[in-house]
Order: sequence, then structure tokens, then C-alpha cells
Amino acid sequence: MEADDAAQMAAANAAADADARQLASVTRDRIGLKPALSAPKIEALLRGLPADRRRGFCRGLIASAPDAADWQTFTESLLVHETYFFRHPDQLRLLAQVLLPRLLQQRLQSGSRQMRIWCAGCSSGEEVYTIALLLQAAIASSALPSLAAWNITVLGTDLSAQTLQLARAGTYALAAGLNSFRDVPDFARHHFAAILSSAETNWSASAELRRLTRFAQHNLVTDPPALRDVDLVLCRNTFIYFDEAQSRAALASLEAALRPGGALLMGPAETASEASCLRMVCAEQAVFWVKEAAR
Amino acid sequence: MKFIDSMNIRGKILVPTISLIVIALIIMGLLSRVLHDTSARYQELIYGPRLAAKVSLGYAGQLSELGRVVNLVLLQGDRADLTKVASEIDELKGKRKQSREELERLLPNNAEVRGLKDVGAKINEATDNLIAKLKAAGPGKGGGDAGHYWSEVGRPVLAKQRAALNDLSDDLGESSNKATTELNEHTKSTTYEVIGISLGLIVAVLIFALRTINSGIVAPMTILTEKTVRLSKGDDKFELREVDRTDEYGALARALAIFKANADKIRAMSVAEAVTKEIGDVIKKAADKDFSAEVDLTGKEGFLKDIGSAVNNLLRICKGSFKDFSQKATQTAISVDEASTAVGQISDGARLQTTQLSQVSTALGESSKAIKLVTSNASSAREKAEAAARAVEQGQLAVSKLEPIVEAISQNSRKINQITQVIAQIANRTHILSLNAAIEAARAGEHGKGFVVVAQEVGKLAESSAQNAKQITDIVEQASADAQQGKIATSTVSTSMKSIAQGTQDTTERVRTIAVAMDQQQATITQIEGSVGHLKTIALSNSTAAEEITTTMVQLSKLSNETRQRLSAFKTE
Repeated sequence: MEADDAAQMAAANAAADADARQLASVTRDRIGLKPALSAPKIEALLRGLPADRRRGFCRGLIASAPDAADWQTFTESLLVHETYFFRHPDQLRLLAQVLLPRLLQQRLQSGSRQMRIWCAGCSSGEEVYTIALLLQAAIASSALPSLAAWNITVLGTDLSAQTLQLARAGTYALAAGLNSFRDVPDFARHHFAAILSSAETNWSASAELRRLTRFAQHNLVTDPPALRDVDLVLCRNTFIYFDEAQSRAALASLEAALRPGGALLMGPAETASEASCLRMVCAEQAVFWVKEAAR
Repeated sequence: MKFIDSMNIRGKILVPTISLIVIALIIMGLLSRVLHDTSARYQELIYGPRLAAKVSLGYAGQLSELGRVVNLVLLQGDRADLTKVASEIDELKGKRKQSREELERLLPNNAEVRGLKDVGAKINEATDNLIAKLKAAGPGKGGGDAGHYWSEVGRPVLAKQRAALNDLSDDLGESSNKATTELNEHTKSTTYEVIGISLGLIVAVLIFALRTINSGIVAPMTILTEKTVRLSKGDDKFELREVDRTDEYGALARALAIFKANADKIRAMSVAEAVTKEIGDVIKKAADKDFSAEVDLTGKEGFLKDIGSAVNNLLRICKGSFKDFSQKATQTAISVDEASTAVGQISDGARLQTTQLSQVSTALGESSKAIKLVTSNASSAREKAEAAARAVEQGQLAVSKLEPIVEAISQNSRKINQITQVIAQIANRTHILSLNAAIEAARAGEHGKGFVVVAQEVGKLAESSAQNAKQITDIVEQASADAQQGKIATSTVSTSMKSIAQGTQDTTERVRTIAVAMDQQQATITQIEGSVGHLKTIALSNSTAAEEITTTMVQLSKLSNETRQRLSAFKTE
């Protein structure tokens, strides 16, 4: 009898493991996350539970709709919200000195005063405010029309509703450890002088920055592009979490969003070489991609 | 010939060609003149006499016919149809006239022909007379007279004339034959003449044309071709006199002169071809990712050696770079791999740290709660200990008061025993009294019935009093024993109480110390909780950062592996 019990338990465990694997696979299909990354987290969530509870948990999530509360809670637990102000300063220097002036000039030459920037996978919004700050500075330091004369949108999208709340709030605390101000480069320190000198414990986005920025929930893998006719797309350190097929789908979406001549910036370990209409440009400070006119 | 030399090639081809055409035209003109002449002579000397001979023979034939017609008439005599004969003779007359006119046209100067008209007139007259005679003779008379007339006049004229015509015809035939022979001779000689002149002209023009083409086109072409070939092989040891020419060869020669001036370069170029191919092969290999080949520089010189050397340098640099890249990519791949593992471990560690800090935090919370509980327990324990101390004190007091009471009880017990014995005696007496009373009542009869009951009751009472007294005695004896025990116990309790009082005092002191310590502990734990909260934030941010770095590292590892694979396709050994 004991042998039977052991066999039954082994079968139940195997079924539960199979369900967990299927959940990882469904997760990949719905939000792009590599099973290799989601599997340990799912395992951690299921640790210590009996086989039937584990199965119930996995099956419930697999059957749930992507907008169901359970599913949302589950995905929130999988996402990595790593971001901070002025991350990857080399790219930002390139953006401030070359790309933004060029993109603005192009718009001006085509008789438009519209500028659209999309931060895909913006997490808690530091990158969006960073870009808005750079854009402010780029316009202020040039002979271009003043900021008020432009119709500018810096759209930040993310899958996580929780972090988007933080992004919309636009207030960041000087928390212990690796906080949002952990690596502000010298050229941007003046934006955060008060908090970096510990004179204040919070930094809040100015009203002007809030006017320039918008936030929306968006699934890069399954949703159509969040914006069209975009001048600049930043999608940094998001593709590293995606599996190959989902990377391709997301890249196609970013490509479709860009206007001809628009630029794409990705994370240091990411590449857009699979896109048909994106041409890689190796600048001194960083690599970026430019959308060519459709062939 | 000088003007021909100065012409261009087109001129040099056109002039002989046109000359040949002109010569051909001249020959054709000559030939046509000869033919025309021959034809005229033929008309005059051969065709005319022959035609005339034919006509004169025809004329003779007509005369013969006339003779036959006339003879037939004369033979027929009366049967002859004169009208028909007359018309036949008229018809022949017309024909003769035609023939005569023809002969006159053909041979206007011939005396014989000029005489024909008169003879003809004579014949006509003879026939006319004959017909007239025949008509006049009438039927049945025959043609005696007419026949006679015809024999006398007509027949000789006719014969003479016929003979004359035959002679004429013979003469004409002879002369035409003679003319034919002459014409043949003449034509032959003329033909030879024309052929001779034509051949002479053709030879002259051909010589001119060939000379022109040879000296003006072929010779300089051959010379220049030879010189060009020599030049193409790098041989410039020749004179280029042709540069002075005004034609295309001059231009060609002048162009060649430029090449001649650069002959060393051309020589070098022909040598260069092989070397270039060799260098090209090396470059092609490099394009096919094989950097192992090199250009062999031995025996090479000039710019090709420089190029070869530059290609070798480039290849060496590429080779070095690719080796370097390959090595670095390999190292990067290894480092990234190691770093990836390390960061992965850190990430796991950070996650573990977060989990453990959570556990520590929970544990601290629980400790804090426990300490609070202990503290409150300690203070209540102190209170209880103090209360106990007070209770012990009171107990001691009570016990000390108890001792005399116990003693008194003990003494009282003895007294009670005595009293009880008295009560027992009383009860005994009462019982006897009740028995007596019952006897007395029974004696009293009906009236003492009630008293019997009383007596019985009194008896029962006495009985129970005796029992009670006995019980009391028992109880009191027990109480006395108990009191004795109580006395011993009380003194024991008293001793214990004393020691308890001492203990309680100690406990109270200790509990008070614990409570103070717990208060301090509580403060410390609150402090630690705050720190752990910070640690949790740090660990969480560490964990998030480490996770992203791990993922980045894994991606980098993938990229560097791809780079390594691509680089390994280049052959550098």
C-alpha cells in the first residue's frame, strides 16, 4: 500500500510540474517572458504547496483571461522593475547631442511641430522623465522654436499597472540602496541637486514635465503599436526578458510605430538586426537604429 | 603619288575603286562603240544584200508563177476562166511591184534593179495584151493567137528577167558571204584591239589601286601593327616615322608614340598582369574569410611590390585583429559566462537575502511581540509576587494567630469531651425516664395514650442525644487529634511562610530586573526592526538590479557567443 501511495504522489507531482511548465509557456505567449526566467518564480510561488493546490493554482491561471485580476497579480509578481534616472548615460548623451536635435530639425523641415517619443517598457517612469528633461534641454539650448510651440508627447508604456501608478505619481523617494538616483551622471546632476545633497527626501516631476508625458498600460508582445508616426522609440532592457518569437513580434511593433527616419534605442545587450527596415548606426557613444523608407 | 599619301584611308580606298569603275565604264563605252559599228556594217554589208537576194528570188518565183498561170490558161483554152486568171495575174502584178520597190529600196544604186521597172512594164504590157487577146478570141477559138503572142513576146521577157533576177540573187549572196568573212575578220581584230586596250587599262589601274592600297593602307597598317605588337610586349626599340603622315596612320602613330614614350610602363603592365592576378587571388581568399594566404614578394618590384606588401600588411593587420577579436570574443564569452554565473548567484543570493530578511523581519516582529508579552507578564508577575509576599506576610500573621487558637481548641476539646460524657449520662437517664414514663402511661390506659407517644419521643430523643454525644465525642476526639496535627502543621507552615516570604522578596527583585531588561530589549528590537526595514529595501533593490543584470548578462553571453562563432569562420592560420 505504501508503494501505491508513493506512486500516486509521484504522478500527482509530475502532473503539477507539467502544469507549471504549461503556465510558463502561456506566460511566454501572453507577455513574452522567457520560460527560463518565469519558471523559477513560478516554482517559488508554488513552493511548499501540496500537488493538488499547485495544480489548481496553475490551471486557474492558464484558464483565466489576460485581464483577470488573478492573472494581473500573477504577472506583477513576475516583472522586474529595474530603472533609474539617466540610466545608460552614453546613449543619453548621444540622444541629447545628436539624435534629438536631428529629429526636431527633421520635423521642422517637413513643416511639422509635432514630436512623438515612445518609451516601451518604462516601468516606474524614470526613463520617461529623463527623456522629457533631455528634450527640454535640447530645445532650450538650440535655435529651435520654444517648447510651448511644439506638440510633444513622451509616452511611457508598461505591462505593470502597479508601476504605472508610481510613474503617474511622478514622485520618487531617496530610498536606501539602489534607488532612482543611484547613478545620475555629472551632466544631469543639476536636475536633482536638492535630493542628491540630501536637502530633500523626495523628487517630484515639474508641471511642465507632466504636461509633456503620458502613461498607458500596453503589452508589447500582443498589442498593436501604442503610438504611430513616432520620432524616437526607447525600448531598453525589455527585450532581454523576451523569448525569440515574442522579441520578433515586439520589434515589428516598434518598427511599425516609427516614422521613416525615426530612431530606435535599445539596451546594451539587445539588437534589432532582425528588423527589415531598420538600419544600424554605430555612433561613437552608442548604437542605434534608423528606420528607412519602406522598400 | 604624293597626293594619295596625304589622303585619308577612305580616300585611299575610294580613289582606286572609282578609277576601276571609270575604267570599266570606258571599256564598256569602247565595247558598245565596236558593237554598234559591227552592227551597222552587218546591216549594210550582210543583212541588206541577203534580204535583197531573198526578195529577188521571190521576184523570180513570182515570174515563174506568172509563167505557170499563163501556160495553164493557154493549155485550158476555152475552159479557162479568164476573169479568175486576170485577177490572179493582177495579184501577181501587185506582188511584183512590192518586190521591185523593196529591191529599189534595198539596192538603190544597182543598175539591174533600176532596169526592173521597164522590164516589169513590158511584162505587164505582155500579160495585159495576152488577156485582151484571149478575151477577143472568144470561146471555141482556142488560144492560137494569144499563145503565139505569148511565145513571141511574153515568155522570153519572162525568162530573161528570171535569169537576171537569179543572177542578181547569186551576186548578192556572194557579196554578202564575202562581207560576212570581212566583217568576221574586222570584228575579230577590233575585239583584240578592245581587249588589248582594256587589259592595258585594267592592269594599269589595278597596279595603281594595288599600289595605293598597299602603300597607303596595307603597308603602314602592317608596320604599325607590328610596332603596336612590339610595344604591347614592351619593346620600344623602333622608329616611328609614320608620325609625320597626315592620314589616320599619322594619328595612330602619334598615339602610339605616346604609348612608346610609356613603353616601360606597358612592359611593367604586362608583367603586372600575372602579379595582379596573384594578388587578386590572395584578396579573393581573404574575401572568402581565409586570411592565411600571403603575396610572395620575391622577384617583384615597383608599385606592385608596394601593393603586394601593402596587401600583406593589411592581411597581417586583419589577421592580427581577427585573432585578437577572436581571442577577446572568446575571453569576453568566458568572462560574460563567468560573470553571468556569478551575477546569477548574486541574484539568487539577493533573492535569498530578501526572503531571509523578510523572515528576520517577521522573526523580529514576533520577538518584539514576545518581549512585550514577557514584559507585561513580568510586570504582572512582579505584582503577583508582591501580592504573594503580602499574602505570605498576612499568612504568617494568620498562622501566628492560629497557634493559640489551635491550642485553645485542643484544650476545649478535652472540656467538650467531659461535657459530652455528661450529656451521655443525661441521655441515658432520660432514656430510662422515658421507659418509666411509657410504663406509667400504659398504666394510665386510654388517658395516657398521648403520653405514651411523648414518652416514646423522649426515649428516641434520649437515644439520639446519646448517639450525638457519642458522635460529638468522636468528632471532638478527631478535632483534638486534628488540632494536634494542625499545631504541628501550623508550625511547619509558619516555617515555610518565613522561607516563602524570603523567596518572594527575591523573586520580586528579579522580576523587576527582568522588566527593566525587557524594556531595553524592546527599544533595541524596535531599532533593529527599522534597520531591517532599510535592509529589506536595499536587498529588494539589489535583487531587482541583480535580476536585470543577470538577464542582461545572459543576453550578452548569447551575443558574445554569436560574435565568437562569426569570428571563428575566419581562417587566420
